[in-house]
Amino acid sequence: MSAISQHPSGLAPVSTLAVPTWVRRLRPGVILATLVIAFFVLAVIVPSLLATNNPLSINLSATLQAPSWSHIFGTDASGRDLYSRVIYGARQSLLIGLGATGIAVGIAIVLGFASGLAGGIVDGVINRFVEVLFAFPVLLLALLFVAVFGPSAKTEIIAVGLGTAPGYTRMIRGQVLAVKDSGYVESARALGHSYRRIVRRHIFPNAMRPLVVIVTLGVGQSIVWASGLAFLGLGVPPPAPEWGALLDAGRDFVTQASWLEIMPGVAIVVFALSLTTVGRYIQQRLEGGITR
Amino acid sequence: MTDRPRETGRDLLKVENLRVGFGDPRAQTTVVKGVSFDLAPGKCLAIVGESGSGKSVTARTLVGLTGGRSHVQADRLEFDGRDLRHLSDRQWRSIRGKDVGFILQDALVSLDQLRRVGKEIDEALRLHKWGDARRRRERVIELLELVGVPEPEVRARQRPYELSGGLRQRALIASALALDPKLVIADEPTTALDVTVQAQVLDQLEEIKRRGSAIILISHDLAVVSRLADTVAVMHDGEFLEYAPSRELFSRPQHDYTRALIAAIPSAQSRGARLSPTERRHKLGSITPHERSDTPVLQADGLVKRFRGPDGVHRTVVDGVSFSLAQGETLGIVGESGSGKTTTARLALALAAPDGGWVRLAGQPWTGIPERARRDRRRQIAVVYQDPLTSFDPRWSVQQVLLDSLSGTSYSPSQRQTRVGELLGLVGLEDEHRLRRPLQLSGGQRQRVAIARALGPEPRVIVCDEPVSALDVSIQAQVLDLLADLQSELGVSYLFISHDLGVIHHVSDRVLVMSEGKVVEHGSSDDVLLRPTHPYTQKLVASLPALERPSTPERPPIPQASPSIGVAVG
Amino acid sequence: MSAPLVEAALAPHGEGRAGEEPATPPPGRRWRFWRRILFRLVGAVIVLWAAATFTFFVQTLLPGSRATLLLNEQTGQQKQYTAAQLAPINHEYGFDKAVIVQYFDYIGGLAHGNFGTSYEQHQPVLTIIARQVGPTFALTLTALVFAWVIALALTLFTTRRNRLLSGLGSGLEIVTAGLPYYWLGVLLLVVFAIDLQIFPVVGGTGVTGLILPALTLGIPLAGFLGQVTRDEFEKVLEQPFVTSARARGMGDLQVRLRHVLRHAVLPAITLSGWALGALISGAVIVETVFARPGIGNVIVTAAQSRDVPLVSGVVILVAAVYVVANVLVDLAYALIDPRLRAG
Repeated sequence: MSAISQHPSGLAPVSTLAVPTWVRRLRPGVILATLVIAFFVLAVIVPSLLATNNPLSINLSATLQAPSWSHIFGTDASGRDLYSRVIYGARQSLLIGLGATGIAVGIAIVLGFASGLAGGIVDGVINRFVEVLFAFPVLLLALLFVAVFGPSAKTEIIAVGLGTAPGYTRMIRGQVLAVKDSGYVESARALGHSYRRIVRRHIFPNAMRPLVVIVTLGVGQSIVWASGLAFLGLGVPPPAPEWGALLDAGRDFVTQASWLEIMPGVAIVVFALSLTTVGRYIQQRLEGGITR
Repeated sequence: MTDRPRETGRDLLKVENLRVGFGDPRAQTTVVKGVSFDLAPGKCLAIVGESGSGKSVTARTLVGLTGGRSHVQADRLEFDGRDLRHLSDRQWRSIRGKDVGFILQDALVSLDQLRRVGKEIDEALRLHKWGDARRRRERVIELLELVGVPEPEVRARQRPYELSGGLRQRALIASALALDPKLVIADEPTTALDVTVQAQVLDQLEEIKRRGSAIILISHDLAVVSRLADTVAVMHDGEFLEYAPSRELFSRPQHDYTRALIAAIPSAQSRGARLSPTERRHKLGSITPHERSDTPVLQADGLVKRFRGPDGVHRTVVDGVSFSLAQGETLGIVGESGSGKTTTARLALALAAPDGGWVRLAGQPWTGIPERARRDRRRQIAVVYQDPLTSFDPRWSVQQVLLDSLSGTSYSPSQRQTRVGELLGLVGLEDEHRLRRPLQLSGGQRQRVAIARALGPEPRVIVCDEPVSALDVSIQAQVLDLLADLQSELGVSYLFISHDLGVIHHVSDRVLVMSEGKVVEHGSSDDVLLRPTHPYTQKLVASLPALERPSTPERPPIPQASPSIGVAVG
Repeated sequence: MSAPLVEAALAPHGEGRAGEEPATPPPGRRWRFWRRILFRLVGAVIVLWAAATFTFFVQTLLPGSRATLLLNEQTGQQKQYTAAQLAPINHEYGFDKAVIVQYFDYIGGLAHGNFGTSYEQHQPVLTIIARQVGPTFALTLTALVFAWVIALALTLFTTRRNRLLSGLGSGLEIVTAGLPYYWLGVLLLVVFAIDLQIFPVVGGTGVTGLILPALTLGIPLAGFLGQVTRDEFEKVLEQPFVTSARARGMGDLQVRLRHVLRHAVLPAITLSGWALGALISGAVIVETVFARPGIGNVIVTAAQSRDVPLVSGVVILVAAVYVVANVLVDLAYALIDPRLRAG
């Protein structure tokens, strides 16, 4: 029962808005990440603006060239410029990522709120269901779907969406439960507000707070999984320049032309990392201004 | 363990002009701004101050645990003849635990929950390479016996959460005493403890002193230190405002701050008087006091509540509690932790349904009816919590919080804006606070907002659940005065719950004493707390550390002219 | 994604009871402990059954007739067939029975260890898997060990040191946690095997051939576990009992090892059950990158040739591993945090 404002260990007065140092240091990193994201969004909308060549034009006299000034990422076995293929591939990859995340987040919100708010049997049943979904790793679930439905973008989206849903469901359910038990919900009850009003004004907005992180993390994750599928040869059929397909094509040339494998991977990694960075940063700022 | 011969004259600890800053050397915040003190063996120095005063930091400089980003400077910092100013980490480690023992508050979090208590005590011995394993085991048992733990062999093999609060605290003390240190530093050793346990801890500290160790006692509670301290230092904002032998300080305090601090302590003597030096604010606004009525505003009969613990055992938390609260009156419920007082409050608010008994609000049934029927009447009973921060939606500003509390009333939107201003004025806040977030306010200000929110729907009863327990003494005084003023103006009744007997005695007209779910005694506050009949109440009252003031019975003069306003009784 | 168990375990217990506690634990505590284990096992079986049901359900969603699919895969053509042509296949695989009957056959078969027969290879699925599962388990377990060692080392030595070190450690964890296996694998392959020639390119099943693949699998998991452990570690370092230990004269490293570590690893241990399942799935990709034998191969070719029973078999097996691992993790957790044993 010590004074609230005192730091728990009695040492230096710590600002309650303290943000971990690594976030402070990432600020130039956050700017960089935002630029990266903007770059790729542009690539989705107007790829011709950023690409240097036509991604589909074959040039058999310039096959398997290492990265150079004229071909930033090098060329592939048919002489196509890899960089342009990466740029043009952004659209499909991003759409797959958004689609899968959309499905996952949609499921997570519905199930998370239903189980968190209802409690009791509904909560128990949904929890078991989520537990079962957890038992299926994303990739294996996707492989199952591919075995049953055949490889396609739709299969990818649904499989990755279902596979990543249970994690987000647990996060949202956790938030709903925490808010339900919070002091301000009880105060609202004590003031005589109706249940519907409390859900609308307190539970829903506060429980959705981790959403920023979930979405940014999710899009990055989904792109990684989808491209992983494609890497195995089970993604969207060629010759689409989707990132995963580029990885699949590059597999055979790992020893002689490793850039074919590494460069698209760099695009994926950098993009996913930027998304995560920005998502975390936004989350920290949102959390830093308010407190649980 | 032998008694150390009383060395007189030679000081154990000499500190001159101690300064401690934190952060970047060029832009540091100075937390301790030049304090000086001495301590002789077998004597006790108490450093008293409110949060942020720097008292804990001062204590930690004596064991070198101020933290990595601190800068400690002093003209003199000597312990037992040794200069402490430029010690290496290894040298500090040889002092810590061996020459200086450190006791933190609340053994529940100050002992490693995952380790056995015996091992924690043994650790102190092992670190300084004392004896072999067998000797150490014996010593651990010895130490536990020394601090009065029954069945020490069994207890040593238990973990902190398996022990009761009192035993835990003793085990913590035992681990600090392991190597018979010359100096024992106790940082808030009694905070967060029940009054009876608190008394036991003070007994232990007295024993330590008797055996010849010097003690530095850090606390925000003047009453606690008055029993043990030979010298008292009153610290505020990094400086010692007053530093005097204990007798002098309590009988003839020199500094205004000290006087205000002493005056702010609520107790039996302070009933009816103002605790803080602030004046009454006369901003009544358009709230009409409730009309007088003889019906008790809140009644409870035979309340019972059972809970099922995580281990499946049913516990009766509230067992047959009855009370009646008249209009304009304050009923205090006092008890230690686990007594069921908070659950009783929740039953009174109908936030939990009783397993037995009933509650009536303004003569109408309150429990046992569907929530729908209650919702409209909820505006007649409000609540103020101990920690207001968690009771505010983190996204909302003060204005939104207060507007929300007015939502059940019949005011138009523009009238509501005016009302918000009036409510702020009632609790002593300014317009500038309207758009702030609670996180940006101080603890006292937040509590005022919580009170304003409680007043919004113009309730007849306000349930106050430990509303001042987390506040500094001077802020506590202001809030208690505010509550008293509101009661005299508006005729609102309070159901006031606290573990602090002094506060309860100060605010309550009548008192309920609870222990283990039952009401063991009830009556007028003077009757129950000055002339207790039940053994539990007697034990509680006896454990209360009274501010030991020698013969002068007068209260220290309060430097303002307004007349004291009595706590209204119906 | 920490289990609710972690929050429950770390919730504060009641304090300051006025009376004294009994010296011996209340009777029936032992029994409650075993009862909880029983509940876990029953729950595990239910989850497995549900997983099998889900898999079966997905199989029934197959567009078109399964017999047509089978024949087309075998012949490599895309044709339609008459009912008479499909009849023998339907009969052989039981497709002509009612769905409910097929379902019970399926579940019954699983309970007896009959995971069905591969469309492609015409052998029992379990046999095929059993042949190839060894190298995958070796890879997965090694990766788990690597992940733990790296995560613990990073956390232990870089949490709350100076700003540079903590920032570096934390940043490293964030970056590695998101790395895709195929990319990291290729990178390591190119750098260490091809360019520096420290490790063999195509490793086979020997120890040296295990290291790069295990690192590929382990490093992203290390990043993830590291983040979780670091968060917890930092919180625990602030706790008063750590100050108590220092005040007794304990040095920093000892405090971290003896006091903080035990508290900080609790959430990561809870995650290890899930991690094992995720590792096996990641192994699919890693084995492809490094051309290692194992289940990865099996399932990829099976998916390509639409060999549903084989893919389903692997999926259910992995689900079983996940479920068993979680039960074991629960037990391990209860051993480390005795507060759970007390209820």
